[in-house]
Amino acid sequence: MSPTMAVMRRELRSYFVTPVAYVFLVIFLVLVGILTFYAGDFYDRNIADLQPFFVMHPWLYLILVPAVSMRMWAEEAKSGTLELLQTLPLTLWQSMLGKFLAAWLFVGLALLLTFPIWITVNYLGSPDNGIIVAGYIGSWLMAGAFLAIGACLSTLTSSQVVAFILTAVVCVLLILVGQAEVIDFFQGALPRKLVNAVAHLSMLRHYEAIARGVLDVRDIIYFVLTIAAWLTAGVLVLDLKRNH
Amino acid sequence: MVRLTLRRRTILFGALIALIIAYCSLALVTSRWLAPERFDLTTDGLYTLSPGTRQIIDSAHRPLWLTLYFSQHATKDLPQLRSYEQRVAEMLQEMVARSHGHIRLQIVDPVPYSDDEASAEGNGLTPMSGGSNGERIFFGLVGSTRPSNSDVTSDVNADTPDDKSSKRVDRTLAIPFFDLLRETFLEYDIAKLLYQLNEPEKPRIGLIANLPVMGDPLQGTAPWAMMQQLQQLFDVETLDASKLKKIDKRIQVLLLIHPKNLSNDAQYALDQYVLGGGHLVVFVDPFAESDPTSLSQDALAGTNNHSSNLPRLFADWGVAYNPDQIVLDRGRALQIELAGTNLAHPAMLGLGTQELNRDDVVTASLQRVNVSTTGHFDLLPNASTRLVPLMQSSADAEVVPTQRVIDASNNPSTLLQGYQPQNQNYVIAARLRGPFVSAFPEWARRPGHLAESPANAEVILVADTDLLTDRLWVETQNFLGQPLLSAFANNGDFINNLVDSLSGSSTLLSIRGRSSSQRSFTRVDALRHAADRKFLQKKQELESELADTKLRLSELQPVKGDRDTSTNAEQKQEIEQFLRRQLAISKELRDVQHQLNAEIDALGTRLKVINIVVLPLLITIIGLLYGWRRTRRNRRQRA
Repeated sequence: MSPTMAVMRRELRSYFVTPVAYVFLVIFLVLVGILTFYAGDFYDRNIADLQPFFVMHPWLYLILVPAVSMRMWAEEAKSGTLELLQTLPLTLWQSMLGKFLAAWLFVGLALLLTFPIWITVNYLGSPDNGIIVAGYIGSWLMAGAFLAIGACLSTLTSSQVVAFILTAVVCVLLILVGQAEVIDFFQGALPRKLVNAVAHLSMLRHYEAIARGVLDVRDIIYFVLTIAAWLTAGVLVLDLKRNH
Repeated sequence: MVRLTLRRRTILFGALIALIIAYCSLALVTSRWLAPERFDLTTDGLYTLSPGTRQIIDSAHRPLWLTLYFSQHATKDLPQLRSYEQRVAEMLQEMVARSHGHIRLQIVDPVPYSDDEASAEGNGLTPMSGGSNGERIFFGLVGSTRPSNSDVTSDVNADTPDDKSSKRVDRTLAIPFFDLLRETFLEYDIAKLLYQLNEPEKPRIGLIANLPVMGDPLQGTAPWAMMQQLQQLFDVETLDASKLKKIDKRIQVLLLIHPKNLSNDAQYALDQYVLGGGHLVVFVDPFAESDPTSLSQDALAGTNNHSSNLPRLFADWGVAYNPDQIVLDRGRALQIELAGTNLAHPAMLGLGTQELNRDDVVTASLQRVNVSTTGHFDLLPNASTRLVPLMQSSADAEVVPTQRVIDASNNPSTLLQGYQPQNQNYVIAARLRGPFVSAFPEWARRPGHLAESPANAEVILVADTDLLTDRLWVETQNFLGQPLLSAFANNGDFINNLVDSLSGSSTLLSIRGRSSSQRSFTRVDALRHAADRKFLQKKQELESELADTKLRLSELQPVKGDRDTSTNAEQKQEIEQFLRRQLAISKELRDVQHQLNAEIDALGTRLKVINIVVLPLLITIIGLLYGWRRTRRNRRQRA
């Protein structure tokens, strides 16, 4: 087994050893259900699609993802196992990737456990399942990008709370820059080209593009780039700390 | 050692900064300039533009500005409309992405009393009433060849494309309101708008008519309303059938109305026009009521001189048409007033949505087309062409000799004597799809002779000319000295759609209807329908009970002059009972309604519970079990 996979398995197991994973899953599923049925008006709008479900995901990830990623490196730093980890025959990249993949799989599991809503919509009508599949792919990619950000930011601090807050702030900024209201707000104050350029970096814009049912190579490249960039930044920060 | 660490730290810092710059630039470059490569996962390929649309976008030779007006706030409580708006916006964004910067899109929320609202109205958008707080709902598209003022400041997609079209005439066209019922033709409607914006001139339409469609300036009669409409949208050119030898290729659609005894030269010109890819619409009629020639009967031929036909070309195209037959349809008979009495005329038909082809862009959104003394088409046994009906009679129709209808003009109800429906839908208007071959093989040596048509050639056939006359679809009212047309049937829209779709281009014609993206909860709908049926049934039962009580009450009414007080007391009691029962019945009906809605609500609640409670509960139980087993195992190990 490659070292990355070994780290991934160890991390994944560690989620389920403590009640943390179960609490996360329950909170996520309850929240997603409540938001879809009440805030999204899923049943009363009488349209066979999962738009009210997917539209809530960016906001739900603001709570779930930083909570998953905050412990990645901050906990290691606090408990002093970071130094131990660095003595193992592992590169920083392998550890980072292993931890990230474990977290990404865990969020993927949370996402998979929302399958009753998919069954529900198919029971109620005949939705376009292609759009639903695209929605899940987009949602998982967005979760991956958020996790990579969280992984990087948790290398900066030994406090899990600080890591949580930092990740939530960066993620909310990446969501907000894609909102039409925010773009409109800055249109007058900043050069238009700059506003448009920043809007292209918005997570929301790329997620929504996929969630409507079209997999565009550009959107996928954006998510892959974002994940790779933040993970690399995390590795660089760890390296910097090691050389402190 | 310290120096080495410092050097490494500088390198790492540098790498971090380089990473940020590289990420931002790569993300921007790939998002903005990488060619789109898409995989449409939707079942019906909703976001895959059809080749026709792509061709229209690719051939756009000047920058176009689109503004989608949608009242966000007013549609807060209308999820279906909001979802459709999303679909429209996405379709437009797809077109914008395809256009490589040639098409610019702006989405505007025209809030009440704003400049945006004024510009939406000024550009011809039709608001719909019924928004939240009684606000009007705007949901239309304005396309223009020049940017609007607001575009300059708030266009999200930045750069103004370099306008090489300053010398061209600027055009602004609009889709007044995106009708949910026309969703299947959404792509067609937008592509048509783009196509028309790109066209520098009005399309040219040719007209050969044996009826006074253009009015008579000498007699002071105006063109028919149909023609007035066409003249506004198209460049209509009248052709003289007696001198016709060749039809100009620049004529995009040729309307041949009521052809009678056309010369061979004229028929050859028509034949070659069709084979050359020209769009021909033929209106023939077994009995054209507006034919100005005096009605005489040709006893030898057995036909009247108000009929028209195109025998040689029809035979060549494989079309069977008999001008001696008229379609009667008692199920679709129009009510007319004759000598002060109202009666149904079985030869004058009001064709509704059932009889109009819902899958064809021309007839899909029409509600009613009125026709009169119409013929019908069929295919000859050996025909190689295909007939796609646009309008048909109902199955309750029969075909009778034309002469019988002419004879019954004073008393149309006699046409219903001995009525024998054939249980057949007679084709009144249709698309005739090729391949066509020349009906004049003997003229093959003529220069430029075409022997056969391209694969996508098409002729449109209509077996009635009366549908063009004002009396069947429009009323003219005088409004402040100006004639104001008010349509009571869609005949005008039918001809407009026909010419519009044919004059577009063959690429536009290739864009056919798509399936709808709006899918409702069929299970809830079924419950609702069942509930409605039950409610209606219950209502009828209760109403008949009330009617019985009422009857009993009227039986108890005192006979005039009868002063028997005992009857009055009985009557009073019955009235009281009746009122009590009436109250009880309305309560019962309310209860029934409530109970039926409760079924739908109960389903909703069950689904909420399953989705919000069941799985989280299961995970909690699994977690607790796992924790308990783990603790027990640990304890055992420690022991």
